[in-house]
Amino acid sequence: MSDQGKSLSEFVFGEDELGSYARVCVDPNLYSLTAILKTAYWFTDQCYLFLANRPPLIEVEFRLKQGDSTDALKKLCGEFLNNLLDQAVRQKVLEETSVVRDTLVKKAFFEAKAALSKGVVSDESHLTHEDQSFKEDPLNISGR
Amino acid sequence: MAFVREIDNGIYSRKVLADTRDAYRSYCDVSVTPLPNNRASVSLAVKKEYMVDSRQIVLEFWNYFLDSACKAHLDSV
Repeated sequence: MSDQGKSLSEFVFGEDELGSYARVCVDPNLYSLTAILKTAYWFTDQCYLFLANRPPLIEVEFRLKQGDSTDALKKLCGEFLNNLLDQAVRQKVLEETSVVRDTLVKKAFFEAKAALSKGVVSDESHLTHEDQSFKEDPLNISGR
Repeated sequence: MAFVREIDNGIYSRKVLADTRDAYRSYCDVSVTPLPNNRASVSLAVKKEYMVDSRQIVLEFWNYFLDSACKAHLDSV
């Protein structure tokens, strides 16, 4: 295996017995493992990925499913990092709003489940019936 | 030819490794050597009849492994 490290400082490109690869390092103190794994999960259908824990960083290795293009690898790395940032923000919002979200869900389920108290009876005496015309006005609405 | 990689069991759990090894049993032989600090060395040897597609098999193995590891991690949080 050879690490040629011939491009941008953020990305490392190289070649081994499995072909070309690109590597980027991610700081797990900045991006949680959950955010990294969620992002990786989305990328496994586009390319081959491998995560290596190299404390204090996590190294993400990319390989193309087809071809050997360095530009395509570079593009993948960039997209991965953008998506990672997106996931990290989502995670943060999720954590910050978890109490409010739980309260709303609890309230919604509680209200749907709560039975009517004994004294509450539906008064349906004013509902219209089949032989009633719009001219009739039993509640005297037009006179109000 | 064996393809060797070192994994961290904090990302790639032992349970998921066992499942992945089982899923790829027909295509390659997988041997695992435990290492200190919750790590392991995983060696893949593609079976003779599939040597032509060895790159794809090895990389698909690692993608499947990562995919399953992500699912397991996300289900647990």
